[in-house]
Amino acid sequence: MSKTTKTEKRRFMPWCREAEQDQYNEESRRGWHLSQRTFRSMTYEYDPDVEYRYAIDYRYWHDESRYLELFEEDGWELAGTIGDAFDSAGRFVTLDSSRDNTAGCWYIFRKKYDPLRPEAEYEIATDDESIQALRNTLKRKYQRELVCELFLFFLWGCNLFFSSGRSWFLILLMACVFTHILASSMRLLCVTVFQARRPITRVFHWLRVLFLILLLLTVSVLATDLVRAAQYEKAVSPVAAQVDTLAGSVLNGGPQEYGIG
Amino acid sequence: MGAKREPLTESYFYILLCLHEHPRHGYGIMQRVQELSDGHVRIGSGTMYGATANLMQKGWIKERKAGERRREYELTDAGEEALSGEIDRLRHLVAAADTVTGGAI
Repeated sequence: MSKTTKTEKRRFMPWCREAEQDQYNEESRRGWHLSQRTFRSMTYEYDPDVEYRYAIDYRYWHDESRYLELFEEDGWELAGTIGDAFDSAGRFVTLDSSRDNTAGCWYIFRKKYDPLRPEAEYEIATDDESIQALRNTLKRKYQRELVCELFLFFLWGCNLFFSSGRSWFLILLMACVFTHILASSMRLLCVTVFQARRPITRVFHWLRVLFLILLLLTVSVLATDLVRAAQYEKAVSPVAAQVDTLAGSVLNGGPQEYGIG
Repeated sequence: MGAKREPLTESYFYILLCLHEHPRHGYGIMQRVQELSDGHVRIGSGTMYGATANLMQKGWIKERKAGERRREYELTDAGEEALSGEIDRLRHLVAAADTVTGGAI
């Protein structure tokens, strides 16, 4: 049997966990089974004879070997992991290679699908407590990331504001980036953790779009300013060179000609 | 009378009940829970992992290595006490219901 692989470029979107799972399941129904997932791409292997059901889970600082053992016993196999840390190639990986007490990590599991077995067999969280526990873990994760972002932007802002040659354009630029990221994080928290109703999520969505537009406007104004400055420099430099030559000749030759000194 | 204990969740109760019989592997617990509940309760792997982690933290169960890699879970004395406390609580609830309905429901 010939096996083919295909790779698709798409960012991992953990806040749309169900949509991610649905996509893997849909591809698997067509014979394409997810075999590797990085933050930016996914690799599928073709095998029309089997079908898998996928499940995505997130854990933070936990006993990974015990965790994987329970999943393996229940018929799940690990299709991919996306950790909270980068490796040298820029891919997300787990922090600890010993696989015990692993840092924050997304796990993608798959199980062979059998239409005769009940659908509940393909769920990994089966009671309200564990669903709420996952929600709380994600809430803490996004809150930690939000605090880090706020602190970094606060430091950047202080540095920019109190430096001697501060530029109001740069400060505006920073404010736009900051508000855009803040609104994005808030939207993320609303969708994944608080399961907020649509209006509040829409507010944060439009806020981030608004500040993205403002950011682009600031960048374009800044770029126009720089281009104009370069053009001015280009137009003025020949004249300035002539003035320099003239001034040099006057200063060097002047004293002899006019008998000064 | 001891301190009032929070009612156990369905998953926690079934896990303790399975381990009351004898120590089991994680998957053994999942299968036994389905048998005991006539297929009404199924504990998924994610739920099982979280529940066993919490129960170990409470000191109600402990794990031990069985063979090369697999782990077994067993009930501790504190776990036995928690289980019997929960069974008493459930018996009282049923007795109260019987008093009111005369066992008609």
